[in-house]
Amino acid sequence: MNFKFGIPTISRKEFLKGAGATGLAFMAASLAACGSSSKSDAGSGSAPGATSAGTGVNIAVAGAAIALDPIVAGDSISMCIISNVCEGLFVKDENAEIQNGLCKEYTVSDDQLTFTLTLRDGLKWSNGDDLVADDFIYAWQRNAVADNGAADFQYQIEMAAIKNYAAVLAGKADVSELGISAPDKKTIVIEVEHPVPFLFDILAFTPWAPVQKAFREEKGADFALTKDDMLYCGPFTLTEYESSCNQFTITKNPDYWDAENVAIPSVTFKVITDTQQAVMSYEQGDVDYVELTGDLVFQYENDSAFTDTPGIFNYYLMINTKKKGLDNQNFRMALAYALNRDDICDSILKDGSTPVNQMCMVGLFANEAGKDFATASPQLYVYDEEKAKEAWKQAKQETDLREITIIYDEEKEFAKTTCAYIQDTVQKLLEGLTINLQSTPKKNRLDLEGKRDYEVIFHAWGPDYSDPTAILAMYRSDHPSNYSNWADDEFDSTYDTANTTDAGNADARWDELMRCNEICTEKAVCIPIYQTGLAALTNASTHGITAHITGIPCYYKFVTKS
Amino acid sequence: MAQAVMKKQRGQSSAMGHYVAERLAIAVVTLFLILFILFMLLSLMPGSPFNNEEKLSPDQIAALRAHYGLDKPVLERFFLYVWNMLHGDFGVSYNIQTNMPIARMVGPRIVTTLGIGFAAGVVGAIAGFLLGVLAALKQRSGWDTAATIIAVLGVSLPSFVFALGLSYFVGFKLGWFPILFSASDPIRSAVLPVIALSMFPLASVERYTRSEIVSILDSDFMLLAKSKGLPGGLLITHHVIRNTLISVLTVFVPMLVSLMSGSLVMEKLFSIPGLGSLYITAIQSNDYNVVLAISFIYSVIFILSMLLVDILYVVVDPRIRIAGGSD
Repeated sequence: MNFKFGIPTISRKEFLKGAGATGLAFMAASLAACGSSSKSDAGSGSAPGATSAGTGVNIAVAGAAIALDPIVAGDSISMCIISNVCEGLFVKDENAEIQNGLCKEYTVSDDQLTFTLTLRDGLKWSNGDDLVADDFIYAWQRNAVADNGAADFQYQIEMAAIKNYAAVLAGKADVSELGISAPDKKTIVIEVEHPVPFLFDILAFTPWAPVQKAFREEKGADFALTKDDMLYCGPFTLTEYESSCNQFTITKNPDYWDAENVAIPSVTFKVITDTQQAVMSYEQGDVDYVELTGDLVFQYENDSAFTDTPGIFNYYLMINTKKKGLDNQNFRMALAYALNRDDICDSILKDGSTPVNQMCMVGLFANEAGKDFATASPQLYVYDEEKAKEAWKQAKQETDLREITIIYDEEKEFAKTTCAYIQDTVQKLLEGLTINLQSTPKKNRLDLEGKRDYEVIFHAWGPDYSDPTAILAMYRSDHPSNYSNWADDEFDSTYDTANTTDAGNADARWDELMRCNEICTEKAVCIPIYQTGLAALTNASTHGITAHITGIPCYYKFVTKS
Repeated sequence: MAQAVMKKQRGQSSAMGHYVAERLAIAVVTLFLILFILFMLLSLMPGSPFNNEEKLSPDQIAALRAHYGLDKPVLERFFLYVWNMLHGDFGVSYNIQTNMPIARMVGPRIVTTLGIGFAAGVVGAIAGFLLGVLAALKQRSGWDTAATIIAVLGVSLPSFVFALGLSYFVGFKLGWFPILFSASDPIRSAVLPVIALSMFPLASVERYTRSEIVSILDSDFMLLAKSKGLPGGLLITHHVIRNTLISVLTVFVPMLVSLMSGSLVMEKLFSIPGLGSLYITAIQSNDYNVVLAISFIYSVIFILSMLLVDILYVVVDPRIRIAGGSD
């Protein structure tokens, strides 16, 4: 390098050479660096060839896992990974039937208030330690005290009605007073405040997975951040997981109690953010299962690999029933009758969604005779122009409200088109009504509904466990998620009877919950529009991949690949 | 005489050093201000940063806020954040990867995003420059027309059109390259996104290079050089190209910086775990620490690149002098 006037100077040739070489080196190094970490990870834990197509199963997922801590993970991908590597007491098979997981057998007291569960023999953690009943008790207690700030699943303890839950969750009683105990290494006793018919369904959910206290405490803030900061006890172990990579792999666990019945060597979750690209990967044979969205459903509906099952969410027009004018039932009824749900599903959404005319989703719950709760419920407010006009005429005499605003999430394209359709058709039908649309970021919408500062929201709700209360609970007057601000004495008392006095009486409970569903539909607290569909393509050689409406979408121990 | 020159050289050198130091000091203040303003704005965002917010009671949300220290006054939080940041602690993610330290989460993504952006910039610049030279030297020929068409397409069509086309034809139909980015095959799987991303810089550099060369060819000093009997090749390499490079640098560096900040569309289409999509998700989901960290990184890149461009001008073009250093 030369100096000219004290300034280092280089010739242009030198400069270009240097810049070019540095650039190329940087380019190669950075691209190689972003690959090296995951390469070594994949290589360190997975069985040879485990992730290659033809042996393991490859699943296209739309987003990355959010967390690996059982009481933190709230998204379906995280929960799916966790529940397949940390098995709980129960699992759901390919027919959505509850099967024993780590629980070998159980007894239920006559009053249905005490459950005694026995663990299987010889259960081991992946570090070789014995898996004992205390690992479950510890895991549930850390949920109750919101270990590491995780309060997301405390409500599960409330739903399970574990004895003393209210005092413990409110911090008024010590967590040791929660109605769970481990009299010996293999026995877990659960005491509940009233019969909970869906208890085992809840126990199959991720937050109820076991956690070893010693390991949790040893890891501190690093617990469950990476695959090495976790212990495994499920049919698989996590062998490829890098927070910044777009691929996660779980590999068959040879030490699992039922390893001989686990048919596939591995499952690789490929994060493919664009559905069209995911479908191309499916066509290329790189993935075995892909869920379809939007127009792709329409495009592939005649394909032999196509399946269409009821989806998880019901979309509603959620109404703030405390707002002046919207407290008028005729006003709400007019809106309910005015929605042409068939048209919304067939012409606007075209993605396998189906109209709903009551609050619950098809496939959520069936009684012992196999009758589906949602299908058996009264179907009210089917699209009817005359009845809509009639209700609107009544409403106009009873209230001055002529203008409402529907809020929807700006992140959802389909929300925009659906709301625009509703705005257009309902305004035409209900003369004199003005509907404004307001798109807003989801976080802002949550803030508004939390403050009950809205008129109408285009809203989705999905259940966490297979029981109508997973949906109906939010219409109870004192429920934190009662965003409609609604209070109805008949609903509250019927709901409470169903869940206390009659909780152990399946028939009476069915009727009471059916009545609850009817009350809030009839009063148009929320106006149900449609249930999402779940359309997917599954490679012909792969069998048993499920998308359960509640809990964990799929337990891969039941999946086979020929 | 020699002593006077050396003194002058030292004076120039210290002027340069002084200039760089001053710019760096301004950069630090600017970064601090950016962080402060952003921190205040983020604290005004509605809603909480927590997942599952709809199913949490107000008490639970309050407990979560306290756990993460979000219940403290905003100024206290800001200074705590800066203090921790100076110690290398950027906090944890609230909802995108709950409790994951930001450095571990963002670090690998920076490498991916910078790598792909830089590769696209370099590929685009080299190809664009060569095309521009060709078009200028063969004015009004078939080459020129072809280059113009490429340039117009590259500037006017959004990059996702190229991305979709490449992905479908080259990736899916021909199967030459993977259609998705894969960390286990980073070079091959980056080919399609790099080409798609390089179309815009290619077109811009090509147009710029062509017009620069055309104007240089018409200039007086070229007439003089030609009349002195310099051979054609030497004229081009020595006078035309080296003069063009300086101008191209002016448009190229800002473009490169913007490429290196990550493209949301490319990341979505090729499933690249990069900064662009993470940034948008973080803003939408109120993951404050992620937003702050990525904004900080972007600001550092932009500020440093501006400084670098100014210094490079001096290095490349001896006519340019830093203020206070002129003869």
